[in-house]
Amino acid sequence: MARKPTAGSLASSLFAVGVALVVTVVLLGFGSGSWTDALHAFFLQPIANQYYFGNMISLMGFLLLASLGIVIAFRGGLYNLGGEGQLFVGALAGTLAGLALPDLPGLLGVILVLSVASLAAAALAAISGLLRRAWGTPELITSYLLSAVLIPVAEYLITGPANDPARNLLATATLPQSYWLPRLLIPSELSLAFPIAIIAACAVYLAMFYSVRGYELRLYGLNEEFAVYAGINPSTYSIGAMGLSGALHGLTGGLMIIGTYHAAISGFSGGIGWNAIAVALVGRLHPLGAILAALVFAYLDAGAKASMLHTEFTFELGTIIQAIILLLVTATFVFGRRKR
Amino acid sequence: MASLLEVRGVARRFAANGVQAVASADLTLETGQIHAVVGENGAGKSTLMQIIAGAIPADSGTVSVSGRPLANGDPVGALEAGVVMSYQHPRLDRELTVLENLFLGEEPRRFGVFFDATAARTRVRSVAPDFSPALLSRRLGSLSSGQIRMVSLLAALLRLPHDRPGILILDEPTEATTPAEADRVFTVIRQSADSGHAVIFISHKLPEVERIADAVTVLRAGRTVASWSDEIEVARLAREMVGGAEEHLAIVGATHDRAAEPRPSALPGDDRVGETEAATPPLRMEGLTAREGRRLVLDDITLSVNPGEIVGVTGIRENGIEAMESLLAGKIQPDAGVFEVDGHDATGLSPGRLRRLGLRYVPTDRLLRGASVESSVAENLIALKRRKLQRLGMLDGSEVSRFASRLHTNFGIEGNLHIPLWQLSGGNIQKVILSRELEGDPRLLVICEPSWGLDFRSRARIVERIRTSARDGAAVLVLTTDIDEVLDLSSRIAVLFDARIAAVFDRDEATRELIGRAMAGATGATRGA
Amino acid sequence: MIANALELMVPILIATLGGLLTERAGVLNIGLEGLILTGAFAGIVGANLTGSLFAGLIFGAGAGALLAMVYSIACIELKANIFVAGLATNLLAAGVVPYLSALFYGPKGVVRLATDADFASLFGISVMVPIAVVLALVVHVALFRTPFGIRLRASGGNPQALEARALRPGRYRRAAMILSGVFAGVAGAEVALRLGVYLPNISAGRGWIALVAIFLGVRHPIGVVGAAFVFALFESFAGAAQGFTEIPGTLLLGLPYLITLVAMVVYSALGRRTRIQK
Repeated sequence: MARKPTAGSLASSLFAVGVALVVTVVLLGFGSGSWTDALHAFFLQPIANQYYFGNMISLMGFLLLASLGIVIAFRGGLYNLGGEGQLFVGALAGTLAGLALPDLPGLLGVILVLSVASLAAAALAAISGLLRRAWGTPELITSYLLSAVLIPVAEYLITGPANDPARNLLATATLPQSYWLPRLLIPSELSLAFPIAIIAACAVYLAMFYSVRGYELRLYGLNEEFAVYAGINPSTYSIGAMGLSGALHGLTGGLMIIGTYHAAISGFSGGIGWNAIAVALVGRLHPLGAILAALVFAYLDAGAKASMLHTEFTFELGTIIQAIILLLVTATFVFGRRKR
Repeated sequence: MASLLEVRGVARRFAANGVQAVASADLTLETGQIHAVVGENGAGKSTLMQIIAGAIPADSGTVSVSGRPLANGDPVGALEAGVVMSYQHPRLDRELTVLENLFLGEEPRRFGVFFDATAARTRVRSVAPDFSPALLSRRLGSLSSGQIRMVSLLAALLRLPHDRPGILILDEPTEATTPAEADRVFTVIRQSADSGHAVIFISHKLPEVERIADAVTVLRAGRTVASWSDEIEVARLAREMVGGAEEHLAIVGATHDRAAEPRPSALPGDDRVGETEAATPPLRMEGLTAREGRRLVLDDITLSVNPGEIVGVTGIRENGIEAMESLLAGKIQPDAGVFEVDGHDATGLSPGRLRRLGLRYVPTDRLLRGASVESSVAENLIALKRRKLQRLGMLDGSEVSRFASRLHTNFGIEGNLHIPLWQLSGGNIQKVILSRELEGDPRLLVICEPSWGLDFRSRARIVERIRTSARDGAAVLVLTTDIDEVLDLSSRIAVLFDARIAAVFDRDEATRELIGRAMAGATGATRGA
Repeated sequence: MIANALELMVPILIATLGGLLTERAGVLNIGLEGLILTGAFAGIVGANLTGSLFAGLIFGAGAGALLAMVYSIACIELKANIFVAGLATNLLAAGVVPYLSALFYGPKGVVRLATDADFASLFGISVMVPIAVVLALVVHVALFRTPFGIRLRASGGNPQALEARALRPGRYRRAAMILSGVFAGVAGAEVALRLGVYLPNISAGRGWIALVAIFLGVRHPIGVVGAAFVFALFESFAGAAQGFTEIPGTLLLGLPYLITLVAMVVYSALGRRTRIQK
């Protein structure tokens, strides 16, 4: 792959978010019954009360965790575009494992679900890394395609063989209650998953910038040729980094299940895997930056959904915001740009 | 009447690394003249040509064609004035056909939209009747490098004006060509000159210059040091290229005692003292031959380096220095012969494995292979030591700092440890890379162009460090095109020409002139040419 | 089934031709999916507005060109990362098209073609089939027999060659990207007009199929005709299979991607260099 994913500059992050906000205001104007109501909802509802705020923070946690997976992959010079699928498939795998072994003590059950979720997703992502190492197949394409193939499979399982007939819902059976994570801010869905995500971000930060492996990963991503000269094994990092990236997505999916949904519900991931890419880029591929970026995104996403109640018709404002940000966040500006 | 081309006092400094590529160059070219420009690597020849062609702007000086000055850094203006340049590394697309490459940007058209291949072929026939039409429809990449050079030459010829004298600039037109191909190039050059154009060409091959040039200009350290049109002889060319000792002193300001006569064998700090004949020399090459594609890049090389020895290998880069570096870096493999590092067979080993055998390597292309410019200075310094500076998987911050600071002071690196490497000056970047590789008692040290980009004081420091490494038992191989450097450092000097070892000197017997002549292939015993 | 495959081949081929142009200019266009979607919507809208199917195709082309213009500005002027910008293009289409659809056509999300018309037939197959093949020939001539094509290929092969002749590679890259928008837009419009309706996600992975088809067709206009046909055959087979097997529809959603993935892996395993440029 010739072009590595770049971290971007603060200027481009700010610019991207800024433009997205402007476009949001305009779009809401065209689509809404009452422009001011829609804007009011967009900017203020997410923090209006515990319910909305908690949900926003909960979303922030999941975005953050998944984006850590992207940070790791992109820092290693690898394009993991299959995050959505890794998250979804991992979550389903974890749920099925939990349903298969429902009688474990709570903590073990949690560990079981999360481990299976992470491993399944890691394997999925690692396949792309392996293909790239073995045959040079671009991981950008294989990771996306693998996800695109397996999401429908997972959906099929959820709505078909794994469906819980007792409930009138497109979902699997519910996990045993002992496997659920405690809620932190009733009535919102905020759960223990959020602090776990924050801890994970700190851990990734420490590992990435203070450990030998993190050093090697970053070196590999910045200058592969020099890294090889320094004795870094390309297989470890192309396959391992992809696997780790997948694992983080799978972990996110697992946490979403045991923290919020308690069962694998059709379409539950709601594009978090895709949003994670934008979050990682806005956060300049830095684990701590991702925390802030995840907050911004969760806020925008919550605002987008809230404003939909005040428009004449619903539309995917969140997607448009994400698209604009993605389009602009890697832009290079002539001033203050680093040397090539 | 004004000469066809007059270059006066041109100078150019590159901002990127602070190197004064051209300090003050003059050149005069007459119509119908074949004018050679010679000089060592780094003398400024290519830069000067690019300035004339308007591809690079000059900091000062003038370039005039037929009395009218050209606008600075204006390639289109230069082209209109009739200046056409053919680059050393041809700017051609290997996927396009020869014909498409020849007319790229000035394609003859039919109905305004289609490429008029017939008209194009006719033009080729009129400009170069001997050029084989069958080659025109072939993909450029399928041609040999010699043929590609001919295509590049032809592309330039096609752009010369038909109504007035043009100036054709060729950078190393016979590089990587067989003798027969070289002859064809000369025929073309002669025809061009006879039909009223003038040709400037850069060449390292002094015997060829003697054969074909009507006039010559010699550059040294960015300055025109000599220019004449009578009696062009290899001996005189070589002498002017490398210069006598006094002139070199004046230009570089050296404080070393450097005589044009052979040097005495006993010198203070003579590091021959540390040399031992090892049973398994850290580096052993015997009958080593390597190819790139079909071209022979190393031919029957036999060379060993013992612990404590500093062996210098010099020559023109394209004549084997580059290839030897690639071999030692693990990038190319020998086709035949012995290649051993510390007694182990090193053929086919990855760069990482070679490192683990104790090979330390400072590449010519420092920024591409030797560093990560986006990483911090400290991160670059610890690249080879990372495993040793850790505790429980985490890098020990204080150990890292201590290690990095030590190198910092020992090598005189200026700049904060934690800023990205690219923010350092070129010279400091060199020091970072060199210090990393020299540190820690390497077994075999391969250094390419050690003092490239360094100021004088730093040069002396690096020389001292390399000598120290040798005294401590390292076997050192220095690959460089700088003759002074090789004389300064080495106890033994091998000169490469045309992929072979043309000469080997002990330091006692080596002089600048001898080395210069061997580098230029002037000592006979060469293949062809 | 062959006839059906030929008709299914049309949008894939046209989109692939667009992607081929950008690939030759050194840009791997992963925004094709979004461009196709945009074209599909514009095609129905245009056909409804004007009453003509071919006008619908023009509308599709225009919409695709517009989106591609945005994409190219991000990549060339703003120097954004090509792949991220390509993703963004897909997302942009996925967000903006439903917005416009809801704005003008109400919340249903599905826009029907006002008439029952279909493309004219030639010997029992849609006239679009020969048109698509002719388009491949036109692209072939443009790439290999015109100065524009020569320069476009140089911008992908060795941009320095253009710069050395005072030409700007960016111009040709942008032209290629906008053309890919035109082509993908037409492809999308064709799909929608043939089905008689615009549906969300009507592009169904054709953008990615097109990408892989470029490489399977050895990056050559005539080669991609074959590659597109092969993919269309698979699609036709899958459609027929759904009739007489029990494979549920949800699973089959992933099938085009599976075929594409397998094709991509086989292609690279056979040792071809994939030219993905910066």
